[in-house]
Amino acid sequence: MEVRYNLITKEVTGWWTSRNNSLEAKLKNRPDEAIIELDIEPPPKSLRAYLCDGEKLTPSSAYIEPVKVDKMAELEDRLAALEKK
Amino acid sequence: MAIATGEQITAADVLAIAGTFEKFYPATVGESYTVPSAYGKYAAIPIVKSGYPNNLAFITGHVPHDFGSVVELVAVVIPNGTSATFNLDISSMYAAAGEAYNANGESDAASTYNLTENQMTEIDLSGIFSSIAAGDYFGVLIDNHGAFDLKVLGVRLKYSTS
Repeated sequence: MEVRYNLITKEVTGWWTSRNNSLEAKLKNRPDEAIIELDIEPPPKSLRAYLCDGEKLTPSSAYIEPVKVDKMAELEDRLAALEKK
Repeated sequence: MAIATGEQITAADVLAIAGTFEKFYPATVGESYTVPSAYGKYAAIPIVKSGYPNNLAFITGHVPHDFGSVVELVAVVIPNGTSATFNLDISSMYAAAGEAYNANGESDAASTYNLTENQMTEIDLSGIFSSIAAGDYFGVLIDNHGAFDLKVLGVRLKYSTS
């Protein structure tokens, strides 16, 4: 898999498993970024969940895993609160 | 161009007549304070708007089979405020049928945008679709880190044929 990352921040900004074409297009207007080849499958999380040190991907401590909100439970809580009033 | 009656039409003639084509993809999901019911960047629920903090808009579409290259690829938004350096993160996933849904993806969290309240605004997405191809299914995520809401209308693709 080709992985594009920022050389300064180490943030992963792209990956490709099936488009091994023009590096020029992939790096257009991205002066601080580079592309490396890693022998891995695309990771399950968002690009923002990873950092790249030029050799491997590591979890990004800045990435906050989104939390699913149960809208129905939220609504029921509000209804219960209204009923108490 | 003019083609005389009985003249044989070549593929080049067809392209000369055809020029470029455009597709518009409406936003398909938006939700506040939670993760939309989506898998990766793909979803199919109508969107109203996205807004601060960390609110998300998703657009899903398909690249036509006569696609050759991108002429313009933009998200269309209507800002609820004005800012010269509005902070939006944009990211993509794209894959052909038979590939993993997350086979290819790109993001741009560094760019900021000059937005004017209530002005129809195009956000360039071409930088996160550097290797998109005919037949791809794609998902776009617009993550609003700015100080006001955006109404996200969708994505417009203008392309030349192969």
